[in-house]
Amino acid sequence: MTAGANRTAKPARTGLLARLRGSRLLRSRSATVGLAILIFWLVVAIGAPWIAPYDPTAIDFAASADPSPSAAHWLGTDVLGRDLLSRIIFGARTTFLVIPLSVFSAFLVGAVAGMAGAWYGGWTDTILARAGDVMLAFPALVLYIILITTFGPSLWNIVIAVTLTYAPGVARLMRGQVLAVKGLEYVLAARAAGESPIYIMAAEILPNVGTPLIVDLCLRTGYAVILVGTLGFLGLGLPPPTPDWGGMVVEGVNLMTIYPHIALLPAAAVTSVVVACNLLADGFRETAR
Amino acid sequence: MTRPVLEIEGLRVAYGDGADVLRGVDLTIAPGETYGLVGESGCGKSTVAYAVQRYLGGGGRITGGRIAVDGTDIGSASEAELRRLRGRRMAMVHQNPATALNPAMRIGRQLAETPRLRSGEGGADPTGAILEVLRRVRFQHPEQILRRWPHQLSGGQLQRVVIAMALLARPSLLLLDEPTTGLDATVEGEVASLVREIAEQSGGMAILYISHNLGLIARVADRIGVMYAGQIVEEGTARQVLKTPAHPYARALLASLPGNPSIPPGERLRTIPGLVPRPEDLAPGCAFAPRCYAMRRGLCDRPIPLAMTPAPDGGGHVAQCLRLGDVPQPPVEAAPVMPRARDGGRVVDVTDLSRSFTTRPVFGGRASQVVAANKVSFAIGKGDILSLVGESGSGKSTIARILTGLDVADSGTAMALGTDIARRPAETRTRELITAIRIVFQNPDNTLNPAHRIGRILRRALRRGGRAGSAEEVAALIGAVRLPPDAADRRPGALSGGQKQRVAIARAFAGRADLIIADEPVSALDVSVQAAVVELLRDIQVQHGSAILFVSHDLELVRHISDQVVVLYRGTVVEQGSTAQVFGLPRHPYTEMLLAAVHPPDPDHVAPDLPVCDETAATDMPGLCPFLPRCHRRLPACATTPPPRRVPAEGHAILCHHAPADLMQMLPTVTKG
Repeated sequence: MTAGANRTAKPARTGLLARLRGSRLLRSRSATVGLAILIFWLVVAIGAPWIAPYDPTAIDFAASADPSPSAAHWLGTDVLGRDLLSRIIFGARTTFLVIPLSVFSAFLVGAVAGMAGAWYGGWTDTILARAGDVMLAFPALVLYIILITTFGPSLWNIVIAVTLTYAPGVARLMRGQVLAVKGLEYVLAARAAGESPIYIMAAEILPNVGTPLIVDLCLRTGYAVILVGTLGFLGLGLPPPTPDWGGMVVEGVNLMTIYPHIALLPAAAVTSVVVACNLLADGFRETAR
Repeated sequence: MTRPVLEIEGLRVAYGDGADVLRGVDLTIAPGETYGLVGESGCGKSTVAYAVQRYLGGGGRITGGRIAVDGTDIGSASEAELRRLRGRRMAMVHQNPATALNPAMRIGRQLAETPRLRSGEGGADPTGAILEVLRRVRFQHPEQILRRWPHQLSGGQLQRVVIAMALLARPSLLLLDEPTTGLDATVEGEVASLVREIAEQSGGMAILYISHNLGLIARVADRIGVMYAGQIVEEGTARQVLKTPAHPYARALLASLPGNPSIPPGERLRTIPGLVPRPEDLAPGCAFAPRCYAMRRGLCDRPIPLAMTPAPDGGGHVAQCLRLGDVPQPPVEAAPVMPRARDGGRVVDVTDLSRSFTTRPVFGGRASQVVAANKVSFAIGKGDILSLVGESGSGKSTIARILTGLDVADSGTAMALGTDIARRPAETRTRELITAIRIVFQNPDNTLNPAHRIGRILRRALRRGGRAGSAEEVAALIGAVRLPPDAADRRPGALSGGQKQRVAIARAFAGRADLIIADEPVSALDVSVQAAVVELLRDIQVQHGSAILFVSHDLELVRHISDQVVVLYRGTVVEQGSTAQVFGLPRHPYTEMLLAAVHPPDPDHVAPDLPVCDETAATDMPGLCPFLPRCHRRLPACATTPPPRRVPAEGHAILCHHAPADLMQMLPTVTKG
């Protein structure tokens, strides 16, 4: 009976949740490092009011004369004399609010559109696919500038901008995955059992198309940090004086030659999150194999 | 004596850090000899073929023993030497011909890629050699084949091209790994007789033919090795192994074939309990003992290494069994098949059901119509088993899908529970209809959602069937299909193919199923497991009083279990009647051909040479006999008028121009000596 016992002991790692909590992910070094960086920033974001030495919007006129790092301001200040360390710490808050919200929105719209297109096919599929093509074909920068000039900077406009940029790609990935699973016999069996389309899509198909989507989610989260930085650079970030890594780079870029730290330090923060997301994506890819 | 082409001594192979998958395989093949390797899946048959080429993939490695091809030691050969051997001295034919060929390259160019030809050994223009070899694999118009793309050929034609490619290498060793699995029985027979012909004409080529199909092995092999759990447990000439098998495993395998003459139709099929053990679970001693009907305590369970010993009939026949010479015949299954409740009522009544599909090529070209069902009529009585038989593309599965509501008919009716379901997809059916007609699919690996635990799958099915879906009900259902109780907590990935099919059967019987549609439910399983699943299906059917629509291409199995048989060819019913009527005489020429393709595991059985046909296109004129292009008994009238429906006896119908009296002869299936 040892054969039977062994077969029971071997866990079946197929479900999305099982993959997430499985220790196999943590056996991958890149995933562990990526996860550690993200958790670090998450702790910083949550604990910002207690960790940050200054109010991120408080102006220290004395320091604005020389924004270089000093004993009072470890990472220096920006041109207005606001403490850079505090601004980066509070900037993490912005990032960890804006990024998950906008990426989640992009994935929700993209995944629903991709699933619906693949499942219903025909006209639904054609219309959704064409709508996606139009969005992909529209120059992203022009789209952002239209958004800024029409609606001005706000959190929701960032979410809309990211969603419009990423949803078509997510939809395409989802559509391909669903098409591959749709004709499999367990889906046919559910249809023959009279299950509703919503149940089949949510319970039968979704758990089996997850892995590539999770990898994509990690990668896109990384890119979204850059995208939100770009939006901040263009003025579609959060309205000042809210600390925002992208906006901080913009403010520092003019003084790049004299005080490079003002632009480089927030840029490094952005980079660390992007790298962490990519490492995590690699980890998921390894685990899925 | 000449040197053997292939010598394998004590071969051991392991994958990754795992235990040895091959545990000391000894095998030699002489020039001109065809060696058949049989056994259930998971016994290591394919690993032998890959090890011979030292092509085990990233994780596999040879951990012991020696392989020599034409005297060259494979284990110590350099990569460059191996490349010279592969495709020249040895060539391999894989299971799936559709993926063995590059879909973006014409057949002619693909054949010219053979290493021997590319290095100029075939002469400056290799076309002559290619045409010759295509003729050898029985293409009547090889020039046309050269210009075709792989997708334009049928599965059987593709496999013949792959064999041609292997032959172009003029190998001294040809490896065939399940070359016909997945092909129709008629095509299978064609490929087998082709291999036999090649073996006889090749002048010294050695062939290793791997198959789980004992009938096919009987057709092609001179000698047979029976493999179990990484070892060859019995070896001898084809006649010795198939006629007087010595090892209980070989005996049990042969006894579990549905065509076994010692089991009359209606009796239970014999099974081999349990599964092939995984390599890491193996201890020294007889690996088959836990599943063996002849296991003797105190003898067979001793942890001592076994050796090949001569079988009682001698003559080089050897087997690895501690009770050799004292092995009884496999026991007959004790419990008889229970009688079924039949009251003459009908579960489903199908009349003139038609369905066709239109396919339009992406880049221009004419749209073509494929007729999947053409005015099909049949009725299934309560408690009956009706089988739909025919080759792939005959429309069997389409009819099954229409009845299940996964597809809708173009016209015709299918009456069930007083309503017409021919044009009602599952989404619009009442709960009562849905629980009344359930389906069991073919592919065990896809039939269950890999993300869900078995308990959840069954609970959902119970609830859909109008029951509470409590833990007790799930446990009862799991017990009913004879799965271990802890199966509820497992995911499909942790179950074997046969176990997954049992879950699928449990799911189908979760409600009050009047009709179970079984679409090739055991085709993907080993014969040993197949018998157990079929018997389970029959037992539960009796308990529930359900009828079964059994879709299958396995005629022996159909003959064994069904009451009624419907023979389909390209969507048209060419013959229907009771099992005795369809398998008896008179018979439609197509039924005749299908039956002729059935090959018992008897090396003395001479299979009739089926007419090879490259042209399988449908007749253009509607109404004409669809079988006409392949028919070996065609009459002048066949090309001009639709065939009449002949009724040789009550309940028996044949669609043919021949009078029933003219359909009494069979293709000769003489038995030698």
